[in-house]
Amino acid sequence: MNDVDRPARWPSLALAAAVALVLGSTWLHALRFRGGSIDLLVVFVAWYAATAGVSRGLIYGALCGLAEDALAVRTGAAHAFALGVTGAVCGLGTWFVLPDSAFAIAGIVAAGTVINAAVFWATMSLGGYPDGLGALHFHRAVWSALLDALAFFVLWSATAWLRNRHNSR
Amino acid sequence: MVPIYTSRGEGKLLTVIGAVILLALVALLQIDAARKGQESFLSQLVTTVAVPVQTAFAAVSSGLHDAGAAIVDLPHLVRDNTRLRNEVRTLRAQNSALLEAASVAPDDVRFAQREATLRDAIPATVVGYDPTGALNTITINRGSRAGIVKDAGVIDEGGVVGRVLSVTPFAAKVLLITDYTSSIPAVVQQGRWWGIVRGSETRVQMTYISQDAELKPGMRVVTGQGRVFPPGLLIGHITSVVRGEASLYQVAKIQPAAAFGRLSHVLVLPKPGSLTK
Repeated sequence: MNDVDRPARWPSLALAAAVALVLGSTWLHALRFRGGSIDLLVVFVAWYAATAGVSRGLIYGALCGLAEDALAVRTGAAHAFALGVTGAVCGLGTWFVLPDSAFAIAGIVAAGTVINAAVFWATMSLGGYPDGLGALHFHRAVWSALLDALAFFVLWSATAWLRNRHNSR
Repeated sequence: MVPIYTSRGEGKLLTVIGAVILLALVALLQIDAARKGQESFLSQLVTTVAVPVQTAFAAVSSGLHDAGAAIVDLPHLVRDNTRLRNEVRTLRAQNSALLEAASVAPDDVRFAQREATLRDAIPATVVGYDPTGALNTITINRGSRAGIVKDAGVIDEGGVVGRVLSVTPFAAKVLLITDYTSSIPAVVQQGRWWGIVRGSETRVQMTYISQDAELKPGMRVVTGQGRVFPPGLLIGHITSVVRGEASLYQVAKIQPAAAFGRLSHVLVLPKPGSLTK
């Protein structure tokens, strides 16, 4: 297997999740567009799941979600459940797309963002959070999906450039 | 064709199942803690580890913001300085007169309590926000070690910000008044009409106001007597009034006085009734 086909290793995934959590709770909060924001954790979970498969996507998503629940407040395990489901669903992408197709994985990232928002708010409303926010959150999730896909392209380009530079030495 | 399972395949399957069971157990602990309104051990651990990193990131971004603002404001500094000095002189004189009047007014006990509340407030810095931006909460870099307790009110220089939702030793999470689950007893200062201020994602609105109330845009809305905030703290100003003909109450949209777009330094108030003379 070459570098493109092999899924990322666990230390890289842990570092990526930690960076995504810290950036998401600090600098990325200022980057909002029409209510949508960049969620790097969803980007990493969907990206990894699209290259590694359903079970690994589920576990990585659930772990990232637990960390997000620990940093958030009053969400219980909603993020863990939502990101776990997102990882599992995005893992189905390995049945249809190749891991070197940036546009296909960007589509999976965008779909994963919408799925994550849907599952998260459904779980929160089951736990007693106010109902009737579906339309508002769907509108925001669509914009977040666009922003996450753009963020994925930037990260994909950066990793491709670093890989090429490493291989050319 | 009968599938052939190797021991390596079984090992992988068992690992996946074990991981899922472990994650489910941790998730159940999180849910249990959330239902009890407490912070789980995992939440405390992650928050304690994350707060110093968030503080560093917040310091960098606020430093860059302040440097940029200083460069932009440089041409106006002298003029603004003179204007502000004159304003401080005027306000000091007004404050003295008001203190004198309050000291002989029948309400002097409540006034003295509010002064004591602000004197005993704990300053804190905003170091983080909700990771996904889904909920309207912030993280501040003071916790139980600094004397912060759950349900304490939080204000900034503009007005009311929110209340403390959970506390760890070195950090606390604050629910903003713009959150859907936030509700504060409030009163329109001119006219003393009572209502409840609730969050509505990007702004706040005051509900359950009597249909008799004559509300106008620009009126000040302050906190009423409650268990979180002392009365009289500014929440915001009315921007518009919705007065349905068939409804029992009016609804007033409010522009919050606190700077939610750029929260950096806040004050955590002691809970009303917890002050000692």
